[in-house]
Amino acid sequence: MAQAHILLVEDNPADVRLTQEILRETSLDFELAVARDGEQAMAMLRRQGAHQDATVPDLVLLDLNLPRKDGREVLAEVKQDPSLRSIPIIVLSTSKAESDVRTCYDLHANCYLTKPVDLNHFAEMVQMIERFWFNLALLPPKSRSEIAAE
Amino acid sequence: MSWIDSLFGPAGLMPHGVCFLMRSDLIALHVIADGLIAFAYFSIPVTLLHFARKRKDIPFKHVLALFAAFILLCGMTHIFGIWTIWRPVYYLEGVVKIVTAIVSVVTAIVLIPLVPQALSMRSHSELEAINRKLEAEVQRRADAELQLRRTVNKLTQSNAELERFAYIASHDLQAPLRTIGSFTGLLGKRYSESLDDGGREYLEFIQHGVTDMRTLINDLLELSRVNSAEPKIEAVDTGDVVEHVVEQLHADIESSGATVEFGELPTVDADARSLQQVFLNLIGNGMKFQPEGQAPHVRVRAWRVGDGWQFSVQDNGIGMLPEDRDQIFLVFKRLHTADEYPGTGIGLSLVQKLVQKRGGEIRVDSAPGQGSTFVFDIPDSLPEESTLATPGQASPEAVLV
Repeated sequence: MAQAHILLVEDNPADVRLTQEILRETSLDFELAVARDGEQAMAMLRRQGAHQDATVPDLVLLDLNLPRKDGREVLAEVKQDPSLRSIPIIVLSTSKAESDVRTCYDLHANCYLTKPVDLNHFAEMVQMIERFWFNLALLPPKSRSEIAAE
Repeated sequence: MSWIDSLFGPAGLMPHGVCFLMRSDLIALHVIADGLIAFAYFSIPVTLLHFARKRKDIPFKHVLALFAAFILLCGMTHIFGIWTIWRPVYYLEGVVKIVTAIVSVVTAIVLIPLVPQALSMRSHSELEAINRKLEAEVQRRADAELQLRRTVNKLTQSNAELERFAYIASHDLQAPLRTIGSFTGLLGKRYSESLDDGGREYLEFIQHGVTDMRTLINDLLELSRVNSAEPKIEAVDTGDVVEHVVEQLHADIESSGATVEFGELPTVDADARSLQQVFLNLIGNGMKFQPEGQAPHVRVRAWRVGDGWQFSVQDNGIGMLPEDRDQIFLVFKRLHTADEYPGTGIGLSLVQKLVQKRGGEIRVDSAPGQGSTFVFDIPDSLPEESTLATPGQASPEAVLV
């Protein structure tokens, strides 16, 4: 399959690096774009400002607790935007609180995962994401304009 | 002439009016005076009677009755004073006077022993003073109660804050710990070759530290959850719970060759998660505290006692001294070094809290080398609301958004 474009919305540099490293261990041919806060994530998704050349991602990995605009707001905005709402969003949070899980699914998150504490479990989770979302699931086809932009 | 005739004016006697020479002004004066006195005397017993009927608690009622009769009779003598002006009923008047005399003497005599009694009765001012004292006492108690309520509120609040703090602290400690653990793991995985034995040993120490701290944080989180989380009471099949725990402990059971034995177990009303924690800790402990090289054997049983179920978790482990039996339920209390038996010292304290929260108690029967039997009960009835989570308080999870 073509190169997978993943947008990681995560403010912790260690988590960004870890995700990158673990993704690299999978067989996936990927490009990882990183947004460090909610506002940047929205600008990248809408290709605004400095991000006019950004690629529309195949999948978004979204942390919930972010500076400026938090993950729930990003989720709500994306899922209300007809041009963005088909992009699968995987919420990746440390919170196991029922209220968070419910809120995210109410806001039409495609999946809610908690960040495993253990490295091996984290690696397993990333492999599962790769296998499910990029090998098993069919992702929405990209529109012409999105492909032209790539 | 009969004696009755002599009562109503015997012949030969003059009516009293004769002494007044039947002068109308003198007669009028005496009639008015005697009439008014009689009227006043008759009205006094009526008033007294009315008073006695209204105030049922007045003392010396019999004296009051005597006094009323005495005044009534006095009134009568004045009526006779009027009558005898025209009719010489002096005998009858004398009889009434004698009766009046007897009643007044009896009243006078009865009154004497009442004096000390009446003196010992509280005077109105004394009663007022006592009343004031009582009021002050009531106020003092109300103040004390208010103070107590304030203190309880303060304690409840600081307790809730402490729990929230424990939860948030442990929750937030996890993020950096995850980073340390993850990158230590990556370091070991990718750069282990370029390290010497010393370096690899250091990495191992770090990873052990991370694992221990993770266990500690998880245990602390569980402990802080006991009081804050609302229990979800439902019918729980304890057999299923124990089975699930055995699955959870699968790896340890395999490696130690342990057997966990349990027969029919009842269904009880409880919070499934709490019950799971209780059995996980008790069965886990039974397997952990074993002499070197012995295959652990843990047996779970249940039986009816009074109006509830009693459970026992029995092991063939190292047991403990009698003086340690109560100590083990204290938080962070450990009887062994981490090298001998790893642990955080939270497990049994958590178990005790969970059992008590459900209204039960836990105890242990044990002797060194004889294994330990933990016995706890789950009553059929649920505990009072107050021992459950304080309503209106946000759970720490709700605070942590």
